[in-house]
Amino acid sequence: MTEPVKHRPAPRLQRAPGLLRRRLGGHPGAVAGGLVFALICMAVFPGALLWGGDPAAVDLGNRNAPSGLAHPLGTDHLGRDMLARVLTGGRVSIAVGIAAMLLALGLGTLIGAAAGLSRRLDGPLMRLTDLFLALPLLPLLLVVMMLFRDALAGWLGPQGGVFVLIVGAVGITSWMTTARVVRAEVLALKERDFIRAARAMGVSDMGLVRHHILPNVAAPILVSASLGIASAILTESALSFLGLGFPPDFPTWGRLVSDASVYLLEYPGRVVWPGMAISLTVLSVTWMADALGDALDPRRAAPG
Amino acid sequence: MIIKRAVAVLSAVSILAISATEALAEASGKPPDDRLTIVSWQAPSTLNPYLSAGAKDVEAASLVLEPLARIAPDGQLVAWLAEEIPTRANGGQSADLKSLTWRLRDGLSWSDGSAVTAQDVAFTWRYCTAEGLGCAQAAKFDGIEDIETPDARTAVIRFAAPRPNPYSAFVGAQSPILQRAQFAPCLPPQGTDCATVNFAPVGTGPFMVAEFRPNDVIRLAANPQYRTPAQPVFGEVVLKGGGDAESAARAVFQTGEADYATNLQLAPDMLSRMAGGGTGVIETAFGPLVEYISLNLTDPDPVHGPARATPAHPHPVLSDARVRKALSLALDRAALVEIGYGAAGRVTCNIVVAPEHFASTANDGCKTQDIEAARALLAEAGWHDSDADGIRDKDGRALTLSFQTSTNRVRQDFQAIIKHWWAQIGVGTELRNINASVFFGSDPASPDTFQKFHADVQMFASMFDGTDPEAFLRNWRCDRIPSPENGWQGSNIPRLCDAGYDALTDRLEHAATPQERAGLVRALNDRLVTDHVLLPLVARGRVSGRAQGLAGVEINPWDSEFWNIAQWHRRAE
Amino acid sequence: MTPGSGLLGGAGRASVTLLIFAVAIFALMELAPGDPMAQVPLSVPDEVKQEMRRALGLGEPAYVRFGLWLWQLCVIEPLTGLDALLGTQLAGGQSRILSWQARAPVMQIVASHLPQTLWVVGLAYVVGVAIALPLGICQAWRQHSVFDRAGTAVTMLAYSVPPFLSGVVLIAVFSVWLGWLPSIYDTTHRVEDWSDLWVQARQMILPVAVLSIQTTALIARYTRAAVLENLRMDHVRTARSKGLSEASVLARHVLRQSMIPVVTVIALGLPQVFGGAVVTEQIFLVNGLGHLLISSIEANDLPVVRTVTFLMAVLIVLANLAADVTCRLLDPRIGAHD
Repeated sequence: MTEPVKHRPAPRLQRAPGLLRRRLGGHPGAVAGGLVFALICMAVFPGALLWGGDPAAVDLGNRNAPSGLAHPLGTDHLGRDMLARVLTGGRVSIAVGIAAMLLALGLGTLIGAAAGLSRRLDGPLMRLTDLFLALPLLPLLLVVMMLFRDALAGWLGPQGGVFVLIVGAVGITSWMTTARVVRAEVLALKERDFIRAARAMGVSDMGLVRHHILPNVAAPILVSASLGIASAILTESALSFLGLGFPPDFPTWGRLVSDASVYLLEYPGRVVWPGMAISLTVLSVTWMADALGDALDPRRAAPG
Repeated sequence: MIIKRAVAVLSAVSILAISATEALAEASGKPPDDRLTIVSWQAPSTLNPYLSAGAKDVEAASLVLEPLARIAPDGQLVAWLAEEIPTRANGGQSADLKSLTWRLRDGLSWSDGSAVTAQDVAFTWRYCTAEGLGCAQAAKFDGIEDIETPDARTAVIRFAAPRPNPYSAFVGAQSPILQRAQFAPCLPPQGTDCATVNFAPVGTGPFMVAEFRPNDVIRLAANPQYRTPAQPVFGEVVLKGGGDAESAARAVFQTGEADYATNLQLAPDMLSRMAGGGTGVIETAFGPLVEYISLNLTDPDPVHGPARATPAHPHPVLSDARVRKALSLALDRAALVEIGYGAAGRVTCNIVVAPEHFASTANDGCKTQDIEAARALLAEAGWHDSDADGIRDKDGRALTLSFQTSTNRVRQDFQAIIKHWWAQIGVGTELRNINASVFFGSDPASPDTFQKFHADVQMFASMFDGTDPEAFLRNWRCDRIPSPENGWQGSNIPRLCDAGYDALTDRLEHAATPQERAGLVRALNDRLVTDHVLLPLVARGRVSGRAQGLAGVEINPWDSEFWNIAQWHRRAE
Repeated sequence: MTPGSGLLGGAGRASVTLLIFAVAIFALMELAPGDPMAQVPLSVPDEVKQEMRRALGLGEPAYVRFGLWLWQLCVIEPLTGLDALLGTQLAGGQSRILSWQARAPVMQIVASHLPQTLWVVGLAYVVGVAIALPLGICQAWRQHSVFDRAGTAVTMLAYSVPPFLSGVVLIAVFSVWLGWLPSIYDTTHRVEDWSDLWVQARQMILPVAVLSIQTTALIARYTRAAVLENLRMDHVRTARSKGLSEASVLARHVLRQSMIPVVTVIALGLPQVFGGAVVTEQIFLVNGLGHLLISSIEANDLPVVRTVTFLMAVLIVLANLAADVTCRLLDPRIGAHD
């Protein structure tokens, strides 16, 4: 009997080393997005330490101060330095945003792909998705907090515990869109000729997923990634607003925006700075995701 | 090409839309002068104050239902549906203090035309005390044995024991008179589906319900049977609910879409800026509401298992009165008021802050912040910062306290500021905020309720109904301590057990003369405050906004804000 | 398998699914900490609150309450609906699901909140989709052009601005400063003639604008990605080389396939109309179902929360089934060979 033909990866994703890097490197979106994101990360991680202001230092004699040397972005209604708060807040927001987004993406892709590929699992998994879509957020989070807060605080300390809890909470409540979209794409892809050909060649299911399906569903997954970061950061602020997030004196961008929203018309800077930080982070991730999408699909014309 | 065309079309359309809107902004009429628009951002869900004790429902119902007597803004009782207030002097209250005779005004009728009789008064008592109804105002009828109706206009309340202060039932917006004919079918067990009755009760008030959408809006029309001719002046009232305090304030002070907005809990500089616009006026009134800190006299350490936060384990740090006093000395209450409440708050050093004759003057020393004295007290109590980390310690235990309160912007600001002051005297603080529906509830499964007090410090606000604080002061008796045996029910949150305090509350129960009562109330208040178990912070007032042209408003902290709405009118411009 | 038995099997599966949903929703609300007496003022003594809880039925064990709720939901409420439609007396006056706050039937409260939800939130969704689809398609068509980049920046910026900010800004500009549009939505306004319609339109403009921003951003992004994906397919290149214009290439070959993920996302968002637009409803006092749901959760009014959540679950299942059917229509190959 002839040996089965050795499976070769489809020409979709070139194994040639550095091709992806080259395609990304020339893409203005990737460069711009990468630069902005790197700048933001540098500002919030080492930058906050360099600036040295204490984000929680209440100074009642210096409330609502305008921008000056000591406080480049002014102070808030309790006299706390806005620049320190925005920089420190960024650490948590970015960490939560990225971690929660990755969790949601991973869960969503897994469930969506499984549902699309396996007819048996499709029904139950989609009903599970529907259930999660229907359940109201606040009671779900209250239950999760109640069940897991102390255990996690015991393992990871109070800060770490709350962080994992929030990432988990945001993650398990935002995977549903990705799952539905990935499933739809997978269902459509399954019937394409090249997939049927690969199956006929004897490619295993895992191989099918890794080399043929995932690169082709990359487009909606990347869209979910960029939307996911924005919604993760904002959901975290909603959680803190409801008392389910970090302690009240712990600044995060979303919390800064919602706390300052009452002062929108008098001290717009308090809303604009953290708001712009959120928007810039989201935009830079979007550009990078778009660039990645272009790079992964050799047929998308890279900008001339 | 397409893009260019699209842009052109879009700009043309927007120009058209804008000019059309402008033109019609003038053309579209303002609401009729005859209509009073009120925004109450907590939307009422029922108009029966016996089923819901929430202020939003009680206030909305007060437009339609009226009690025998009301409390005026100065704290004095005013006869409303009754002819006069029954007292010992005029014979309305019997010599043995066990009965009270109310006489209804002559010629009173319900808005459907039928006469108001004493039977309605007796029925209201039977309704609220009916088994299985779950009447929210049942405490108002405590101790009433029977209500007799010797004739159509007289109702005699018979108490089981002598009551020096009998004015709880049928006084104030919480216990109005219900029409027997309408509500009789709603007595349990058959009256479960009484939604139509609860949404449109027949009352004697200046307005009647035209349309009620729960959690949304109420439309009311003037009551043609109202007892005072030429009142109410307004022909129609719309009570719109929903939104938040900011949108309510905006509607009165900026867009002019509403004439009156209740409960404007806003950041003080925002409120004063809005009011500075000239379209509206802020109305404030101070009642018994007081925001205070409660210190846990028992140890909430989880290591004690089910006995945590019970008197079996006294608090290792806060049992020392010097530490408690130091915590109080470090607070600058004036700064708290300025940042959190502005004109809607006043510094207070008392738990009973109103009415005036009950407010003690013995504790005013707390109004000044004294960081040095606080530090000295802590050092005297043996707390020194031996490891130079900024937090004092003693015998290996650091002076760190956990501070929890409900989720609320002002409370979170207070927490941040208080943490800052306590850090200056070497006390570390961990802050937590808990969703109000969990914090103030009694879910047995949740460790975060305020009654369980699984923390060292809590902050919230309390008040009492009516003008007599007797029931309020009984909250801190020994037998009111929440414990696992009684399901954590109990109002003695700090777990204070002081035999002297309990003895004084017993004396208050039997004190008959106003002077005696005032003296005892002040003594009880002083005991609580000088012990520094409760740290009063702010006496919070009611804040509402009214349009410039709205006259007749007399904001009332003791009764419904709408107590005299029949007299409200629009001032001629 | 006959169509009849297929339908029966489908109905059976759906009932099992809905039963599991009902159990999950009930269990979640039971587990969640909270107490309907939490909003009762502290001046009410504990014993009175206990009596109130008993009067609401909280004295019964959980399985009894669950059974009662299920019975009321599946039997009594539909019968009451039939009674209202046909004037019969099938429900026989048995007690319906009552809200704990209002002591009134939940369905009655939902019905009173429905009109403004549909007018404002529903319309905003339609407007959002109507803007997003052409926007995303044009962006993909003109990838890397100024329009594409600007469109991406604007949509992602809009998406990252939360509605409580955009709403407040719009009100500040259009209601306070310019005075053109009202900031409070009047739910009792009845449309009887053209000027009434104009008033209705005026009060809808701001909330619809705020809501549709988010929808537009979301759907435009997915549309753009999907169309991009399909624009470079081989069969599309073939069509172009055959001489077809760009427009008909787009219409005939690209759009059908691209709509698959887009239809999925649109269907996902549709049920959110009935429970999702909380912040916007709050800012403009629209008092729709989203506001009802969140205020009932805060007040721990469990009958309302359970019932509305269950109805939303049913809507979500229906919406997703509709999406699946549409996807199969768009691409008949889906599911054909399993």
